Amino acid sequence: MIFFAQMRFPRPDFEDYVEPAINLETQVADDIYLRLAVLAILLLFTGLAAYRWRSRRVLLLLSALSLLLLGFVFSACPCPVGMVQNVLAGWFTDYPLTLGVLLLFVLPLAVALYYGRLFCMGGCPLGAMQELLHFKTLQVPLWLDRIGRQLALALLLVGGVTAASGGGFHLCHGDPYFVIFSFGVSWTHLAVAGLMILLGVFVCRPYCRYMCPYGVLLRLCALAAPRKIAITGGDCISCRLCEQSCPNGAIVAPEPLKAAESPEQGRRRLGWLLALTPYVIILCAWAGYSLAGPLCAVHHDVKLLQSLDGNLRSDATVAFASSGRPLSELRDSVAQQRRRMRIGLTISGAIVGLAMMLELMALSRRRSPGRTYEVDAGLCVACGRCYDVCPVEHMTVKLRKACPSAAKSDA
Amino acid sequence: MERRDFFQKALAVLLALPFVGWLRRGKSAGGPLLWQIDPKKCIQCGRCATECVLKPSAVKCVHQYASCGYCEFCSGFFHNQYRQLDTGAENQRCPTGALKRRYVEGPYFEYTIDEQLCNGCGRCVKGCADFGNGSLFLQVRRDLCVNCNQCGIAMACPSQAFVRVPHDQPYLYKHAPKEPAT
Repeated sequence: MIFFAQMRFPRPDFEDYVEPAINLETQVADDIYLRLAVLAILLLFTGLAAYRWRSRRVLLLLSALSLLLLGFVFSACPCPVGMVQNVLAGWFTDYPLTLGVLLLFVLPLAVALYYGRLFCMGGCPLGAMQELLHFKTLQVPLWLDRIGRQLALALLLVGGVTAASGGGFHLCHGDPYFVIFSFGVSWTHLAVAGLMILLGVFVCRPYCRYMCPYGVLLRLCALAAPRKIAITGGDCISCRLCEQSCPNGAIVAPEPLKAAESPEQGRRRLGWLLALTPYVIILCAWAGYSLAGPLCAVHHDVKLLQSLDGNLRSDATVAFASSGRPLSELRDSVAQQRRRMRIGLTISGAIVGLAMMLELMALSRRRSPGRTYEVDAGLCVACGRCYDVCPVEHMTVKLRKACPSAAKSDA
Repeated sequence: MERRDFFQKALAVLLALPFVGWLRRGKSAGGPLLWQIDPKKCIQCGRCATECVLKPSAVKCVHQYASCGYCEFCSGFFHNQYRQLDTGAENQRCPTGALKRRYVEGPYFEYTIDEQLCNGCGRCVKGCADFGNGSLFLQVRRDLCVNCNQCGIAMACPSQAFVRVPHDQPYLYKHAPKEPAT
């Protein structure tokens, strides 16, 4: 029953009684600018550690710091990973976007635009959780890795469309680690988190590579960055020792003098991929279109209208009946949400299909022979593992330590 | 490098777009927004106790003494099939015994909430709203809530009673009602 403070029983006239005061705690730490400052400092030091000091130990320390500070000391929400929902909701619905939230979204992207994905190593508690608990690398085959990364793109688009159409921020509970950072005690959520952590022990950064919606944006910005991580502090001698050292598949080998396959085979494969592309795009767009129907149900209004039309009685229908909201307004709202979801998800499907085919075709790209080992800036998360493996790095480091002036003239 | 440079500049412009949008829409009160229950919309369904990521929930009952009738038979304290008007657990609505009853004077009793025991289930709220003055209502406690970007209870609330409030208005109280004309 919804009713509002109807005084059925008058307040008594007391002779000798003082009613207690209502003392509710009102202090909430408005710490978003402090959180931004901490993030900025962490990113600064990550940049220094990755480019100037070239130390994996410092990078690991920064990772642990980000986990401690941004994951546990400050409350975990809001975090840049889910901010794309807030920004889209701020544009398309009446969700009030605050400056702090906007800055939190833009800061790691702006850093990535100039220095690469430093956020993933030194600023993200989710990344830290995976980085610090990874022990035995299982390399994922390249083609599978590239297809898997489309899942992250799909999650970004679906989460973005849902947020923009007023359905709420569902990427937040889709992050398997959230229950750890919010100190929740839901056994199903804890089991999911545990499984993800276990997976992370063997597959490096499974969430970062295949599920993180923000990582898609970071990758895009990092590809445009003028600076990227160099595997070696000196000149690459193509010793191949770093080939297997990157658990994220971010090291690009130079093209071998003798190609693994003939140009004929390569061209044929590329031809197949090109021919398949329009069908894949249509298939994925259709998949998006079909998913729009069931996914609409995350909208409260849509579920409510379904119950009303099906003559089902639920708490929501009872609440609606007492709320005085006209049914026609509900129908209009639902129609608009359905339309937005359908258009948004169809386009999203097409984008995912196109991106997947472009990635697979990019694997066939010829690189000019004789180039040295480099990182794929869009994939490198600045973890620093390759520094330890490179013999030139060791020589340069040893030289730098033994004889600072000689090392300078050497490079 | 020309192409990459152009790509970078284009992305930088794109990153500046959200700020333009924010400036145009006008600034809202600074600081992140907080989740709170609008008591006007709440239907006391009980999900506040079960859907919060925290256990026990960050939602607890508040008693607005100004609108309480201090009744001997409190419909928020006692359920309808009570045996006796005493503090026996079999007579109470509250499953945890968080609502305490204390004699004041005359036929009047004071009802207070023990915060440590309250789990936010809303049964007392429902009883008070159905048959009493509606002086009990649920609110999200600021010292407990972790301010999730998307509140789990808000997603499940059947009447969409969860709204975002700014920092300077962390609680939504029921207004003190006017005395009925007798």
